[in-house]
Amino acid sequence: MKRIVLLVAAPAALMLAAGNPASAHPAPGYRCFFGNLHAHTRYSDGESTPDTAYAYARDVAGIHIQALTEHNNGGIGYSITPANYQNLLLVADTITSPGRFVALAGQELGSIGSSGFGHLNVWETPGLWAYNNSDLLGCYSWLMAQRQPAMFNHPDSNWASNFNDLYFYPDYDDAISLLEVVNHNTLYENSYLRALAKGWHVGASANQDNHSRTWGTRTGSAGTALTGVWADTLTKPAVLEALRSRRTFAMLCKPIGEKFQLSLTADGRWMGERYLRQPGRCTLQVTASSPDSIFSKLYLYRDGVIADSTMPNLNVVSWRIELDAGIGSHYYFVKALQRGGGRGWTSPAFVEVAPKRDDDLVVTWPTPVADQGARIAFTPLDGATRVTAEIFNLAGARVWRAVSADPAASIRWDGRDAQGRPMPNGIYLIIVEQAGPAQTKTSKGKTMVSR
Amino acid sequence: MKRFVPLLLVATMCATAGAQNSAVLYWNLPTTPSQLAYGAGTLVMAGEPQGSAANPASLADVKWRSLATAGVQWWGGVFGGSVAATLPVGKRSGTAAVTAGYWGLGAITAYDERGNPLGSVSAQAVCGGVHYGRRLFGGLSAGAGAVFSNLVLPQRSDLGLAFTAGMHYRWRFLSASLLARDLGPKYPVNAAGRGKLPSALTAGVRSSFWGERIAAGLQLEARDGERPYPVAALEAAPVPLVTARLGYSGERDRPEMSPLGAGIAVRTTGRQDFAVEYGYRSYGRLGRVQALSLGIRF
Ligand SMILES: [Zn+2]
Ligand SMILES: [Zn+2]
Repeated sequence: MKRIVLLVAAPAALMLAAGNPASAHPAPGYRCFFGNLHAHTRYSDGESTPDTAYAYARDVAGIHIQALTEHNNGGIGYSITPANYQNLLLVADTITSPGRFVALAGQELGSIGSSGFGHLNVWETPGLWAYNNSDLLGCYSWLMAQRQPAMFNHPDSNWASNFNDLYFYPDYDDAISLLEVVNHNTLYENSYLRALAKGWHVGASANQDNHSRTWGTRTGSAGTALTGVWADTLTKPAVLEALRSRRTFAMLCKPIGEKFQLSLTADGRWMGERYLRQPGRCTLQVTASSPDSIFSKLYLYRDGVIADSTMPNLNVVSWRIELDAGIGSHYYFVKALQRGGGRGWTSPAFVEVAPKRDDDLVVTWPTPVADQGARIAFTPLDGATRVTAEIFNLAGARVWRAVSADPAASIRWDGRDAQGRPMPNGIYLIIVEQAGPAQTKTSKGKTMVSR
Repeated sequence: MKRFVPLLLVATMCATAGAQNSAVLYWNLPTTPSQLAYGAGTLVMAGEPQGSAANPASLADVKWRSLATAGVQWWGGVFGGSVAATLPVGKRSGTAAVTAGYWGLGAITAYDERGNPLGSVSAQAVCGGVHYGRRLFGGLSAGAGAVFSNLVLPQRSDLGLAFTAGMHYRWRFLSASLLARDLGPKYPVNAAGRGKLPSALTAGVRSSFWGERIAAGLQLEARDGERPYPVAALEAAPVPLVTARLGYSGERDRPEMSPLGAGIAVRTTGRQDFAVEYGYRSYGRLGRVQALSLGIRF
């Protein structure tokens, strides 16, 4: 217990300082907190009461974040009632003590029955989802409107729908920020790889899904599942921000209690982030640290495939990788193995590399644009503070326009005009203007709509 | 001869206009120099006796065979070409026109969702139409046209179909035109309907001064679901056989398009008669558009 406290007290920035890559965007210092984001009490199908569960996680398990995510089955069977959900929110707020412990109130939506799309966790929404288990897209759009982090729980492709086989809906990409790589004793690493390959921008989480009095301590043969959360401070808003930003890692602690820290930055940006850059050398920095468990092997996954590995045989590791960032969207994450059997998975860093040669060229990914829309890809201007993207039809009518204050953020065109009407097939012109304090850059390009 | 040259122009413009006035690319791209100069104002300016190029009713004034070709250089690497022919059907039976056009929309690089280039894809369109106009009585004539287009994309093609009906009335140096265009089934017709054609109703008047040396037109264009906007056009022939053109469009949903367009037409007279026209309009950041046409009457 003491060791853990010590470790937490060591600021992340210090640990990263050694191998901090030269970058225009230095990583701010975050601290690592340990949480269990998926558990139940008798408010649904678990045991005991929320206040007992939170207190147990805080005092017995000694973790920093505990979420209670009661089943929301629309009132059927053991489903949480709206009144109990309001009570859960209240209890979580009462027991949360900044700097010491964050209690999250949540719900586990949906069903894993034959007609169900699966289970999703969402935390700290003001109310319960109006249950309709056949309406996955309705659920995604409700989640988008909540503006709170959400998670694919135990995504098992053997189950009935499994979120329509984790089908990627670009419009609902922002609905889900995490995926349970570990649920208690079961690994969903394949689902993690599949979701990423399909296009989801999800981070890694590992949780215990407690249904008895083991909140934070439930342990199986594979180890103890916990989510590492890199947050500004141990407060509810900071933790929710970290979950939304996917600044997390999934962890299986083994032997019991051997928690560790794992982080990944790309070009100085934290894992979970999605950013644009030009082609060239990309610097990845991995930091792994454990009080005394030895890291035997670290793997770097690039676009779902192992691209590099190292065998440090140390309990504190700083691994720096330089690689060529080819044009296109890439995701990198790290898997860590410990000699004692502990395992960890970082969230991915999502790196989108825009073409450099034709500096003024704008294109869409994909081209042609179909119903799922496309990302507008252009070479970012350093220091830009405002990006305007416009789409014109061949007659010169402006059919769509978007303004963003974050030049690294992804801009998507859904192939529709401002009124939401799908645009007819054909050629369209794109103009992107990036305005910075020093200069303004205009880029032009053509795209094609073909459905 | 004095009446002949303007009529040649009618034929040229009238016919090539058909290739434009269509569901061709759904967007009604102008293809002729006069359309670039006048914008939608072509309808009124082309009248009396130059005829209203965009209006099949004006075919009633064409009494000669003609052949015309026009090319337009669009922005974004797009270009279009069209040929058109007019054929008087009979002394009292009016005149028919057939048109054919081609648009090269250029080749672009295809990408997958992650930005990996997948080679190049191109798009092009072919279009065509038949038009007919005849005099009803007095100065009143009527006309109708049907046009089709086929937009060819890598995986599919979109077929469009549209109809036009117009009226034209002449009285001394004044003329009035009325045109309903792009009526028809949803576009494209060969797939689940994606949208109604942006049909439009146009009404305008034109007057000439000083023995046709100066002409001015004013019209109102009302496109589906949008606020009507005014279009004005002016044409002057400072020296014989040379005509200068200026157009103004009050349209607002094309922010980059210059409200002003300009053009010039030069004609020769002789045994066989030629007309060369040029039109220009700027589309701001998108680029500029210019068109050139050649017409012959025989
Ligand atoms: Zn579940
Ligand atoms: Zn559960």
